[in-house]
Amino acid sequence: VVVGEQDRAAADLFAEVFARSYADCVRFAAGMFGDWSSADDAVQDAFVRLWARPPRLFDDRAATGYVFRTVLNMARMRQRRDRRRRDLEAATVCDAAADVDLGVDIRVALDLLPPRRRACVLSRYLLDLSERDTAAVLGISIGTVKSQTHKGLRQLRQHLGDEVGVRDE
Amino acid sequence: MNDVRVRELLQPLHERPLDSAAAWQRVRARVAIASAVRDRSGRRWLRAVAIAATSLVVVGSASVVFAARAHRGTTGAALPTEVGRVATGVQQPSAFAVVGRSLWLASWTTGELVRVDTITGARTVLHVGQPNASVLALASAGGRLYDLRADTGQVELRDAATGEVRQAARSGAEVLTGGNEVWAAGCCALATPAQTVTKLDPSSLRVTSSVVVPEEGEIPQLAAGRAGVWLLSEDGALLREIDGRSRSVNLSSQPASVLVVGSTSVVLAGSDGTLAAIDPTTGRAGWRVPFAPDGGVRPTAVAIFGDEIYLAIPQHVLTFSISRRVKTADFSIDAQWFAVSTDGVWAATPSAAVELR
Repeated sequence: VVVGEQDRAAADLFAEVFARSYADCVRFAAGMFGDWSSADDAVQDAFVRLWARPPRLFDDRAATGYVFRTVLNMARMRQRRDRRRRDLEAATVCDAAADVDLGVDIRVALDLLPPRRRACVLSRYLLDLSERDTAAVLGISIGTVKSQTHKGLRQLRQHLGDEVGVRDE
Repeated sequence: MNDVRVRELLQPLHERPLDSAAAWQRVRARVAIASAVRDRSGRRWLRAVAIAATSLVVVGSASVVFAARAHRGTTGAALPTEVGRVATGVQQPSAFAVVGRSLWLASWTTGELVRVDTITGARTVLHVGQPNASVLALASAGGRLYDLRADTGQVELRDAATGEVRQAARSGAEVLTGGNEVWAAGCCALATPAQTVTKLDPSSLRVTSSVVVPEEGEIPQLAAGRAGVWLLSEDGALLREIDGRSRSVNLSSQPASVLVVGSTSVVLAGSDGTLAAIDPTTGRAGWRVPFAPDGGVRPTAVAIFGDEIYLAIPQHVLTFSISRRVKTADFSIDAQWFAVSTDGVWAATPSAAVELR
């Protein structure tokens, strides 16, 4: 296959972005889905789709954002599917498929969060992204990040008890 | 601090080791396929995937090293890689074929014929015959599935999606396909020493032509492809083309164990540790490539897909480029059978199937 220098540069860039972003993306997806296998599949799907996007997206923040938003959308679809399949109840979110190494309580508590709220909590407290970066990768406003994170922490506290408090902001 | 407690609870997600290199292998393979499809629709910049698929990328982080396979070639062509894996539940498949998105495996010991959907992983189990007396061979061509029953001695044409028998014909001792043609060995000639290889109509399974071969004893190994139908004698010392010119090649100095016929190649692998090509137009021996320099390794299966030869030896699948005549990859896969689809090669292993391309 004959490729030009421009193509070669795009391909190298894509590989480098994958190398830098993969771990964060999979950990984020594992928090979103509750199992590593789904997380790995989702992240790989997202990167394959990313390749079909224009090369200008091949930078760390744009790529991470693309993957995070893809994972977020998958989590939303999964939630809709689960809602149709059975009545939404606490027990359903901690199903047998969950295999991440989190404690049961936090796993259930995370699953009870709406996907976008869960994504905000994971971006802020798992990946230590700033509010500005969280807003950028999830494609939402900083105000939404603040409110969703606050509500997310409050909901976690309701489920986990006082061990997770909420800092008034 | 509250935030700290949340981070502590999420910390286990950071502690799991991730195999970034394996993930990259899968992503680059899928990207290569996606981009090949897009290339055909004229999107030029996507061609760069060929580089992505072969580039050696070492990134600063010590935990993320994208190393190429040890046997990477030097031309920049995309190399075979594992692109999929699906559980089959068949510990010891006795025959294997792929039709579209369906993998079909026969289990001789249980008498089951198992379909596995490669997309969903769903399994369908059909009980065919009795344990130790069921399906002897499977083959596919033109979207159809064929099997050979040991208990009834019939070649059967089955619906590739449901496994339902659509047609059945007289006995054979082997069934195989090449291109869209269907062949059966031993069909219609139970008298020894002469044995007959017959060409069957793909739909009706009626015999359209037959060739009597002089080999005695067990039905020898047959392979069919665009380069003809070739027979390997039981002792591996004689290769014979049975369709058309009926030429023969003496292999007595280096007997072969397995045989495969591609579009332009007839390839043999022997327990002397070499892979050898026969020119189908002249019948002369061509190139030889060692795969086990010390010999003593008995190949169990061989397949051709595109420019690559896939060779199964115990615990490994090796691939070789036909045009470059070099080994291109080494997979730690205990393959017992290969089945070639339109997209790649499936290897049947104990309880799983692995897609390579």
